[in-house]
Amino acid sequence: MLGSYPRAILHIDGDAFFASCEQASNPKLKGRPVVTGRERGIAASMSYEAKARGVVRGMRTSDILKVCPDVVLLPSDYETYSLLSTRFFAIVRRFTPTVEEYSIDECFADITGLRRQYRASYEAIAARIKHDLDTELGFTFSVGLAPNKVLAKVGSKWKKPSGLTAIPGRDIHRFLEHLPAEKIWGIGPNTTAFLHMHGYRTALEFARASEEWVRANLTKPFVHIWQELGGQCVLELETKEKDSYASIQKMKTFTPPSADAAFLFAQLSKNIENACIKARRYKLAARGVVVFLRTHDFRDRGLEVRFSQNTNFPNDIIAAVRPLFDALCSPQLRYRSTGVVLTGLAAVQDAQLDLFGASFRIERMHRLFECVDAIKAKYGKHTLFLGSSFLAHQHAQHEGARGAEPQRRRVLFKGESKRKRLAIPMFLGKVE
Amino acid sequence: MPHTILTTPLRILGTIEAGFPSPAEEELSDTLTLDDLLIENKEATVMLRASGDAMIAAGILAGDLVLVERGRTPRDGDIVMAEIDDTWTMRYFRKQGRRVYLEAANEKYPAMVPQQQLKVAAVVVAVVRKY
Repeated sequence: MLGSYPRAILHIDGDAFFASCEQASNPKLKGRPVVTGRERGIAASMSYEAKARGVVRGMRTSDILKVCPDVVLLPSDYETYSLLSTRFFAIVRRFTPTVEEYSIDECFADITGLRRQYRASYEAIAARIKHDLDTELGFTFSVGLAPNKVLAKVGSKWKKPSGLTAIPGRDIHRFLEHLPAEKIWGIGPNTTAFLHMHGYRTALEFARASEEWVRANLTKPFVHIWQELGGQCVLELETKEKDSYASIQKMKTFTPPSADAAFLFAQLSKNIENACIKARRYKLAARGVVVFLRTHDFRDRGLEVRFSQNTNFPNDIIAAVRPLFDALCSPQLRYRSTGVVLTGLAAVQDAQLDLFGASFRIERMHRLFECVDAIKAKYGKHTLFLGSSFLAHQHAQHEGARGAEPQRRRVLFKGESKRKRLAIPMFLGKVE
Repeated sequence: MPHTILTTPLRILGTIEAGFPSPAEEELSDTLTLDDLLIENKEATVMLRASGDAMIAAGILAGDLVLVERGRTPRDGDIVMAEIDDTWTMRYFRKQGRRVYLEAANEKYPAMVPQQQLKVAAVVVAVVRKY
């Protein structure tokens, strides 16, 4: 391998991100077992103190309290988590524009070629980025530095929390030697089983498989993973901010699961409305929609509808779906979530109008929604909503969530409201 | 994306000639939003609600919106948000030679000298009050 880092790729991962956001804004929680996701009834994120006590993701509240009676169980404050996530990416972008926002708490960054500019090694640059993140956001991040994305991810997971692991080309084999194949990003249970069948148990064994065998037996994504395990950089960072969507999906889960058709339809309506809000924001209109229901034991049932013309008005879509909903929804089953996917999205000006009389109706709808969007912009997304989704707005998304709203929503400055707050994270700790 | 723009800067780039001709003018003025004025490091600045009356002589009243910047090295005379021993407080940071302590802006409150530790979490950069 020529040089340690033909490319220098970072994977940066917030440690226990949601729980850390909470601890950063309220230092009284530092050192305590903090778990978020109270409103869902299950653990979404756990502080390391909670992890040490045996709390795992997805654990139900009752089980959490059994293993950790002194847990601090908090409702999710997605607004704050999103603000901190945006800041996270902005800090990384100070160093390089080539940043891929992989998820709310993870990103990849390409720092190839920056050594001269910073007069420092790649390890030192990575350390500086980590230092700025830890200091300015108030909680820790773990960083992996490697010649490609797959190995950078191995690095960031290697030592957590607050780790910085460099995997130069010549050391790759040392990191892969004892790493089980299933721990590699992209390798799931099915592929793992297949690899085991052929005698490949560790990442290194798989990396040393012949190219012939890999190309003959695995699909392209896994060939790429194999190549990256070998040190090649084939997966590029996807840096483009979304300016358009091929499809828009909105899905929401509620607790407890419900068999009430009216309630379920209201939930679906709300999802349709939200999907349409997003479509209108990007000036897109959908040619079809897929709606689906998920039962309490995670089985999905859906149906697809195509329209005679593109639309982003929820009225149209709800009217199209309503007669089909009864066939989709079985009164014997309990459902935990509804979802909708808008398909065949086209830019609004490209959308074809129905020649047979609909253009008048569209014109009317268009004006109605311009006004509605302006009202929503001023007063909040859900000020005006269609009657069909009324039930979904009446009841909090999760039963029992009424009392469990994030503290941030209760501490308001003059000028803020429950619906609109400043886009600056708030320090909620007591300061005398 | 969340915006923290409190006032919209006006940049008049010109007018488009349509119909009757009018002279196109371009006025480019550099404008600062309130955000730009009050916040230097966007990623490091958080806010809190002031409580108590320890800093009233400095003009910080209970209920005020205080903007604080993490990661800034405090200088003598800065107002800081700090953890002193086990208490979180907002006070003047005083450093005279090797002596470091916290001081209130209200005679009622004595100076705070750290027994175990003093950790400055952030420096106050602005205070906002709406009437």
